[in-house]
Amino acid sequence: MKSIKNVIGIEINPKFVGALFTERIENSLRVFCFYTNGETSQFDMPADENLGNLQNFHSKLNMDEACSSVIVDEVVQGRVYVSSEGSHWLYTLLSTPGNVLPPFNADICNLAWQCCWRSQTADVLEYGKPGDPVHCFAIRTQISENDATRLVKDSNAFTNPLSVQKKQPHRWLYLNIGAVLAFLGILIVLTLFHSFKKSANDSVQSSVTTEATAETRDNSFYLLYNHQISGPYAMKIITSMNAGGLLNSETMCRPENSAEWISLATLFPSQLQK
Amino acid sequence: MKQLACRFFGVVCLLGILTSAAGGQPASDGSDKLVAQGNTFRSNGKLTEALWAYRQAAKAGNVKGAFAAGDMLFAQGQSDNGRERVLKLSEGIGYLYFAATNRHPQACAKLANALKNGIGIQTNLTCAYAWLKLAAQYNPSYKPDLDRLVVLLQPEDVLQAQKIAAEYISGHWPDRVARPVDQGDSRLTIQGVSVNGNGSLIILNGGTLKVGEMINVAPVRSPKHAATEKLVVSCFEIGADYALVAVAGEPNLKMLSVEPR
Repeated sequence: MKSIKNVIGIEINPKFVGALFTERIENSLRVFCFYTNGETSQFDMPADENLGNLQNFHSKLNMDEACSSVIVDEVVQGRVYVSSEGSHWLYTLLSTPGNVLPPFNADICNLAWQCCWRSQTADVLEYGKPGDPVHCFAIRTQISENDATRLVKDSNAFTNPLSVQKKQPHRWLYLNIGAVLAFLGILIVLTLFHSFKKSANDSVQSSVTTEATAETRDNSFYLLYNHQISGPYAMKIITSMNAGGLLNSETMCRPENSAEWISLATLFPSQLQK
Repeated sequence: MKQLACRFFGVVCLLGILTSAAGGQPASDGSDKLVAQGNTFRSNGKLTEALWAYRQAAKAGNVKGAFAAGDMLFAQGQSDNGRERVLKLSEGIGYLYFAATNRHPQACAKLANALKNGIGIQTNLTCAYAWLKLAAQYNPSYKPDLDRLVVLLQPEDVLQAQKIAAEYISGHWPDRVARPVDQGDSRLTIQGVSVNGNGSLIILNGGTLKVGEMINVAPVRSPKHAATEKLVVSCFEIGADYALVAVAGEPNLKMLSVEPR
């Protein structure tokens, strides 16, 4: 027999709240909660009967009445201030014992983030899925240039950081050298074999090689958005930026060696947000 | 016999002229010499003579001559005021258009600059980008200028400009980039002009006319025109000593002078 259950209430322990975001849309209140154990919950509820309860909950979190969101310092791994195409963004990386984070460096904003909750003031981004080796959340908010400058100054943040590639351990280095030498050996053998073989498809192969070279050369793109040009970026970076919601349908791009701009929507027809 | 030889020579000469005129590259040795002569005049500071030489070369279809004439007139027009400015810029743009449509990169870039800044022509960033793209196509040193201009455009205008540029490159040129200006029109007379900051106006054939307005006027009586045929005249610009108007149905603008009393 199928039982029908109506949830008539949900209580959240404020001591377990790491971050809370709320937004009112007409007669509905939207809530996203990030807990100190890495779990999340998001739900909607009728605004008229829950405004008082929400204010009460805010007071337990020591939030101002005017605020609609809070991030507890204990769950903040760090913040990254990003300037991109005329806009400024603040990435707040959330960290709890339940999450495994990617390396926290200047490239954090280029990861393939997925937006899992969005309000007018903030986007909640998720990297990976629960159970993945690396899984975490970040909050992305757009800030003004003045705010960006002030926040960087007030927090004494390290300025203009550049990521440095990790050095590979020697064991891996030798292994890699061995693999490359083996690959080169195979390549030489194959080349010698083919040089003795006069095949008719030489011309076809050469055209394929030329095409591949051209493709590699043109694999970097300049982006044009909001009357500013940035780049060149590798296609991989553009794909990541697109996945992170940093690009929209008005963005245009052109290959590094071309003067022809194309709409980015033609590259990612179904993925770009309006 | 002598007559026959003369006729034969005449036919050969005529054929030569026609072949030269019909050819894609009408510039001849003679017009090149005129351009060289113009350059010498210009470097010696004899600008009137230089302009004469360039104009002659341009009339013979010399692209370099047309560009040089357009460039000179454009520079002079920018430093002039009033009627002279309008006439020189208009003529200059005409020569630049001829050179640009003969794939002269500098002429394309000059036209782009005029369209970008609204010098002697209405501002049109889309067309400016299209002409500059042409310039960059023929001379890659203009590519950085393209990036400086593209940031002023909206995305849809960039795509439109590239489409226009592709049409130009394939030889589908616009009929013109600006309306040519004729000096005077026997059917139209300015009886008075009032120039002030609030809005200038002219009295044209008995009617008053402001910039952007249109009126019906009876032409000045002349044997050429019937007295009953009314003209629809619109006003584009009013200066202290001139008015720039257009007559409906006629391609060229009319530069009407205000006669001193």
